[in-house]
Amino acid sequence: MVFSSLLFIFCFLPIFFTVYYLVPARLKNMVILLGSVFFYAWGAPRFIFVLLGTTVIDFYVVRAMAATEQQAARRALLLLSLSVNLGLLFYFKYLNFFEDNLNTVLGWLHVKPLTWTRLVLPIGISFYTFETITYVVDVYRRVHKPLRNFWDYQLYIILFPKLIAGPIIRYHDFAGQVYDHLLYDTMEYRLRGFYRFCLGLGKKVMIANVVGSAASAIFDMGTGLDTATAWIGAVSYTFQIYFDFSGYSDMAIGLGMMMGFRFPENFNNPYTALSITDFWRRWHITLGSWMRNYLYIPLGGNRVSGTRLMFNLWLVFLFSGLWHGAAWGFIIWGAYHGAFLVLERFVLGKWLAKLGSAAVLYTFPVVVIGWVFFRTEHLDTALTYLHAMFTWKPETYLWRADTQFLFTTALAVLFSFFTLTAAGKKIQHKIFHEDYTAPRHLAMGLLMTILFILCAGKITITTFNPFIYFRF
Amino acid sequence: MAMKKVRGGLFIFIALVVWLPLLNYWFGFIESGKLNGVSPEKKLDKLSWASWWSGRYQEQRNDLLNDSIGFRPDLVRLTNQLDYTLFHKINGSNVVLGKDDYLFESGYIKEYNGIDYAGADAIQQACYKMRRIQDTLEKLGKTFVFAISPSKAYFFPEKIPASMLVRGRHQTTYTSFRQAALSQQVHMVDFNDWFLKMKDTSRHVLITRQGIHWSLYGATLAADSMLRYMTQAGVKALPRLDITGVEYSDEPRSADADLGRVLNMIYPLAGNKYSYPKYDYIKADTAGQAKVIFIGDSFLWLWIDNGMVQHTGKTWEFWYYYNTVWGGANIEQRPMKDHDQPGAIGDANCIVVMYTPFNLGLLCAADSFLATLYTHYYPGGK
Repeated sequence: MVFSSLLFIFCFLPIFFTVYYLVPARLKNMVILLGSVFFYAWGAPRFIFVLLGTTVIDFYVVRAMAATEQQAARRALLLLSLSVNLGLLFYFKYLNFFEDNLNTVLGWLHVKPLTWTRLVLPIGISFYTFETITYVVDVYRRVHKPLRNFWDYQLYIILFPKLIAGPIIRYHDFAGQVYDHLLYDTMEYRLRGFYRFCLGLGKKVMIANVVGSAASAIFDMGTGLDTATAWIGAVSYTFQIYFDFSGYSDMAIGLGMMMGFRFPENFNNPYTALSITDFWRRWHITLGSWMRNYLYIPLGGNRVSGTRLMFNLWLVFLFSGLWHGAAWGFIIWGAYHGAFLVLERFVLGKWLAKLGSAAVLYTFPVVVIGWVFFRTEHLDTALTYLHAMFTWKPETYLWRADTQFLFTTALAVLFSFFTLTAAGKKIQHKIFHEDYTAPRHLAMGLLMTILFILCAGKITITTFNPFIYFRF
Repeated sequence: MAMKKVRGGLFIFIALVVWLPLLNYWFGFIESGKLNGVSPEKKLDKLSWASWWSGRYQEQRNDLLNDSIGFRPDLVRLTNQLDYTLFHKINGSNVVLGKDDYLFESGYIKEYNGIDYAGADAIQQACYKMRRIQDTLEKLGKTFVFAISPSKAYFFPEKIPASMLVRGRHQTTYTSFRQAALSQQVHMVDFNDWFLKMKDTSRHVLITRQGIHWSLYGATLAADSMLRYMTQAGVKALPRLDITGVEYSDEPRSADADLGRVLNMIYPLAGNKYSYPKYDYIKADTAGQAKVIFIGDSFLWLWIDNGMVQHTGKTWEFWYYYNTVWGGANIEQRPMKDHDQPGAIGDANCIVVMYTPFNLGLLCAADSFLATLYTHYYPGGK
């Protein structure tokens, strides 16, 4: 079930929240749990058992780990939990990729290739696996005590707003909210949550889907692409992935708020970044945070030699790329960003600092080019596309922009960059962070309801409605 | 206190907005009217372990909800109208918005551009088979007529968006079929060419702005022409079509706005001043009845709408896309595979095959009417 579907907005949403708001406080968590299980099982009737099974194993393994003081036993149980979770992630997500590459090598050696039944990826596995790891590791590190109640742990993992596509919520950030979210279950939070949900829905349906349709048409053209169209395709994808993913995060955060949960922000105007380093503080913030806490710091973080630091940075981004998908395009995308991070750390950083806001003119094109690897998923296709972008070929008129595309792209540019101005920052602060007066509530309430209806209309007529990050 | 009231009021308002479509779906208290356009009937499995486990149940319920949620027609019309008003964009499957809001079907433009060209050899083969079938039928005392109905892309090329036009000379399925049929001396009636010749002089609309077929007026002119052609070719007992006058209307009838209707907008696109002929069918002087089999595409429906097909004789048959059979006396709609084709052809006086240029390529298919009848008459190709 996706958020931007009629089934969700006109069936699940009203039924779930009506039941949730009407039941007594002691039953609310159970309603969330049942609703979340139904939400996941509807779209993945088989994989719900994988999810439920792993949560059972993890809960009891972590409980046993927390109960013992013997370091060896604690480490063994930690490794057991990590093996199960990462093992399943590898099995479902990377085994096909591993087999394809192994067969390529076997082909070079003139050895008969392996045959294997292609596996289907359980939706959301990359997200909930990483959340499980935060739970296991945070308990191991004694940052937090384990949850006493099995159903509380289930709630943490299966909570439907963030189950499919994040944000990745560290256990440490969620532990206190298992019960205290009830204190935030106020009319103010419900309304602000709904507004946030509608903003996210609008980003996804009104912007991401439109520019995404153009990006798909252009990327599917293959060879013969002219230079201008190739750039339009790359920039369109750049906006598609941002509004799609940040839109989904907004919807998740909004739905959480409607239940009193406070999820961490996942985006902070990433295309206004003044360097790639800055970009990664603004893009998929929860993934970056996870990588820092559970990979970069254990590798030594900043407290290592220059060469080792370069390696650590680059490795973390290689894994970030791999997390996104089992294809060389994602790995190269991660390595590409890692290379720029290293470059900025040791060479470019001081020059970029002198540029001030103008550094956006460096960061944005670097990011756009990186997305070409991400979108094409394969090196040869990426290079063909980049060749079209960087060698002059006059317009072939194979693809033409229509008025809707131009208008939507203008909106995308506006909303991506408006916080570069003081006025833009002020507006953003008013909408997301300030307390609302009654008139502001009325204005937002009306505007968001209109947006909700317009989005519902778009969903009704459109057949192009894929979520990109759904695949992860 | 005021803030509490504002929040409470907003909450109830938003809850109503979110709940209303589902409530209307369950209880149907507000009728939104139907959307124009045909959707295939969808299968619905009962809830069972198998249907749930496979995901079939969920997929079917998703589709059902998408098609039936309350206020869906209103949402569709609102969105279509906004897209048109703000962006001059229409949402119709394969419908193209041309200049001055002339509507086209994309396949017609593709054929006009020579895209998906059926191929010279295939077309020659099809026309060769047509000629041999024609000759065989003639020996059996039957008339064969090959007709080409008009294509809006050829009729209004100036209304096709410039971005969709292929420049330069190119071969099209229509031009090749026309040349090949002429060279094979097939009995051909080219309504596409005839309509083009009449375009600048006709006082009435031959092809409408919002339709893809010939107008009911244009279809009636063509019907008159076809009846005369068949009579001259020797088919007996056919009626005469007597057009006695024309009435005008701002409201389209029949298929005169078939493309426009499926756009499902709040304010429909501007149409034409439609002309609707007044006519009578005058019975032939000769006794007896003709049996005519019409094989072709949806243009033939206009000949059923104006009664021409039915007036050829009580035992008329219409083989729609050579896929489904409709008929006069005692023939209920049935699939082609269940129909006694040799028997029907044996009883017929005349066989008319008529397609618009977009569909002419179907005559080249291995399972087309031509291929099937050719194999029947010439097994092994001899």
